[in-house]
Amino acid sequence: MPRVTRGLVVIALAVGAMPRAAPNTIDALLDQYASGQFSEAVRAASATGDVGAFVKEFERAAPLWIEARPSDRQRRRLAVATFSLEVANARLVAWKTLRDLVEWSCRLLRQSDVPEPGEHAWQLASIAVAERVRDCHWAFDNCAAIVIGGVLVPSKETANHLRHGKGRFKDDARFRLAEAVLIHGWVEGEGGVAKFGVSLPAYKRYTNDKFAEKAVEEFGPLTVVPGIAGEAELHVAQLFLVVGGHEGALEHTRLALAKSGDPIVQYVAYVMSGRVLETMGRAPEAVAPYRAALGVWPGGQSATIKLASLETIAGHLDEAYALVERSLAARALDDPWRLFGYGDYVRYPGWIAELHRQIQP
Amino acid sequence: MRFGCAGLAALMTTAVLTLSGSPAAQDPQRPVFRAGTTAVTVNVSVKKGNTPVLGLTPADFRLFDNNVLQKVDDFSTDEVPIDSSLFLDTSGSTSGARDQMMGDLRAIVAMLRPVDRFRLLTIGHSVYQPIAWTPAGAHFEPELPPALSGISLIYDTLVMALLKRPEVDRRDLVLAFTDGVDVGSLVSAERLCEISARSEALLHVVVVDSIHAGKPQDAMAFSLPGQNPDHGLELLERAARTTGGEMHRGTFSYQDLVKTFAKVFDDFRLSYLLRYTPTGVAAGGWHQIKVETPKIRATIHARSGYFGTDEDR
Repeated sequence: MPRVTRGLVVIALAVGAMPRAAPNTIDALLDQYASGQFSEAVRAASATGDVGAFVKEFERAAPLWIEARPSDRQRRRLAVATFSLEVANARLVAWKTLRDLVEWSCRLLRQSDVPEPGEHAWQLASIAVAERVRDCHWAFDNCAAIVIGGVLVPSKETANHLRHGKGRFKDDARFRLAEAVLIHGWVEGEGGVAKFGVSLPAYKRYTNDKFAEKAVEEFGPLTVVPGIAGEAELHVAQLFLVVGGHEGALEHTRLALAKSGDPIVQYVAYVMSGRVLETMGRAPEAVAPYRAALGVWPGGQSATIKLASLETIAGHLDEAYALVERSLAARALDDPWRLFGYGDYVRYPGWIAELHRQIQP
Repeated sequence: MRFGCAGLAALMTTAVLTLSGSPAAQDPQRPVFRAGTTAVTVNVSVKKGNTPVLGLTPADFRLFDNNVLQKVDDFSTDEVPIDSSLFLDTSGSTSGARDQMMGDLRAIVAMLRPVDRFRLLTIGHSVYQPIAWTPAGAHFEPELPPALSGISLIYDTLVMALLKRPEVDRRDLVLAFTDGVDVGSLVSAERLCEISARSEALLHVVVVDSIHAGKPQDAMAFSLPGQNPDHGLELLERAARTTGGEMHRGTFSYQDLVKTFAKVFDDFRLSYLLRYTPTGVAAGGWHQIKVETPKIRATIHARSGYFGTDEDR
């Protein structure tokens, strides 16, 4: 299709003008995506007015697009799955509809008896999005219950998505970490209590009294697993922080820093240290970890805001202005601290970048 | 020293800017303000009802710094170029109004004078600046972050907007359009108030009813208890008043933003600039500023004071 015509079709889809997307529209979007114009294609698709119609048409047209080039089937399959995941991530407000498309894409990838290149990153990225929206019922089979009126009621809507990744990549440490994060990510919310099989009021009492202890129990074994040890320590520190266990949080951030040289772990650990110290009334001591965080992740927004605030209060306005200027100039949008609260979502940009490299022609 | 914002006469300073008296190279009619550490420039809006009072002279003003009457060194009614930081809350609560938002942004930018500049700040998982500082009249095509629920970094965005380095011969205006429901900010509303007291910028907040406010339970685990107090709106208003600005209540119509900007921009443009060198007061700490127009019954808007440091003297 000529580029101009293709562009017009994409625009027509983008404004939601068509109640049912024409077949060649999905083709055009996938062509665009597979050619390396990832953000353009995702932006056009995610602007679609009728998400349900888009999903239905996509599931009909995408397999035909894959099979139109049998010699390129593997790459095209990964492109379809990654495109659908990116569209879902771009429209998190429509997740309840788009998660079905992600699950459909998961089945598409699992058609291959053994995982093809890219599936590992895809499975992790899709779980990360579930962690971002805290969709217990879709992702995690142990959460097969919901709370209605403070009472647990079995849920029928479990896709067990995490199990798919674990099944395809047995003993993979990252899936073990994701499982622990999923449990604790949800139990902090209003609805996520099923893991412990208690009513909501009882759960709240439980979290107050035993939460930090339980966190160590859940994450403890993972703090010695190569590759994820530092990150697991950081999750323990986070959970201590949430329940006010400041000394415990500081101790586990120190352990995280000692066990991992990963920039994400290092940055979050430094920011968390500073934040804990501020919460403890030791603001002057927080300056050093915030500065260390910016050394690891130049322009990092969360460290910038915290440090600039302290410098402002101390009367060092020139320093505060300079920090904010550097952060805005760096355009450091994927600030690890902002995303780490959503568990593995902090790794989502990296996994998507890896998938793009696999798809790029 | 903490301070009470609400009861103070609203004063506005561009605190550490000083008036050099030498003409601007590009415009001999316009005064040049030099960054310094001793002089204080106070931006004062004088209105009767909604109408700015024009034509006042230095003799019409009395200015107090910590209750000590000060001598006004310089006075200007010239139109100083304005840098406008426009903050549009693009969190999930506003996801249905983006086209209108962009249209109204263009309407706002069309009001700016050629000497003015603007930038756009929005919210995604972080604070975004889809449009960096841009001269009025220049083409812009911002790419907004996707709408998200469960995160709405209002206080963090305002801190980044307020901590803008004052520039020679320019004034700063921050206009925020938001539902006021903060979820997930790193700074508290109280800290925002403290920072607004130290900022050179004038802050106005347009608060609209939320369509779909972020739910605290969706927020990041790092949102600690007490981080986002229920009285956030009250503190937002306090932050605005501290700078000499106001909080405006609106409906969920972006026309409110255009109208409010037009009003705020005109008021700011037509305000008076008073410059004085503090005398008879200690250099450090909080300086409460009070401006009166003894011969004229009018409403005076400006910031409530400024923080001085010992190095200032």
